[in-house]
Amino acid sequence: MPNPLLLSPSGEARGSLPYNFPDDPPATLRVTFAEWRSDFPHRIDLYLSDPRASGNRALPALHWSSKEKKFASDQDGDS
Amino acid sequence: MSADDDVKKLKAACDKAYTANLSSCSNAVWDVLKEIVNPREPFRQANTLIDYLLANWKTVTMDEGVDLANKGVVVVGGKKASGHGHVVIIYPGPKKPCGGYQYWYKPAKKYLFLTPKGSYALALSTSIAAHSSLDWPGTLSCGDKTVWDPWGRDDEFAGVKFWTPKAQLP
Repeated sequence: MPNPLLLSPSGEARGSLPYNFPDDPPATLRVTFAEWRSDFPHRIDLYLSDPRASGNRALPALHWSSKEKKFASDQDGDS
Repeated sequence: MSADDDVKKLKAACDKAYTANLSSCSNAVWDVLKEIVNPREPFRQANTLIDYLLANWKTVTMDEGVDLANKGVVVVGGKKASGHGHVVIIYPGPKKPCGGYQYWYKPAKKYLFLTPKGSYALALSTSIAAHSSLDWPGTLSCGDKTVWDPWGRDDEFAGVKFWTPKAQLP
């Protein structure tokens, strides 16, 4: 299943979420836009509530890259 | 002792550890290690145990682990996590698909079905998070579910490693 895309108001893909939102059964993903500057979030915090063995956990945050014009986590290979 | 006897002994140790430690994976694994590997094995929580196994045991693939378990050799699987990691024992027997059971999805207040797929080693698995039938059923297995089921997702299971004691290799 493809991951949810983060779209700009004009419809351009600006990144993707690592899990489906808000429901990725049996987990649920909480998304919080943070680090607002000039009415634009520069960080997206992700928290997964997960009953499986890996447990509830914060996922790597997505950071806005002004150069790439997209959100990516520090763990993404292309960030 | 024959290989059949070793397998019976491993199964019996897993069955006993499952019943005695439904809410603690590290205690269940500890009981099996004391029964099969070393009666004086010290207790280690999952994350600490994984560090110990990485440094002192031989890493094997899941398929190698199945072959070893079917000879009565202990194979521990596990993955560290913040807070509590999770550890399992490969239960002797043929591989089988993961899933194939219902689970309670709390936000939707309904049961969903986890479609069976693939072919994985059987597992002895218990969990601190397994308090009721509404919790994730994949963490509870006495050979009836697989080593994939506690993690319940391919990308999470990809990080699971397996180890066997160097001295116990046949």
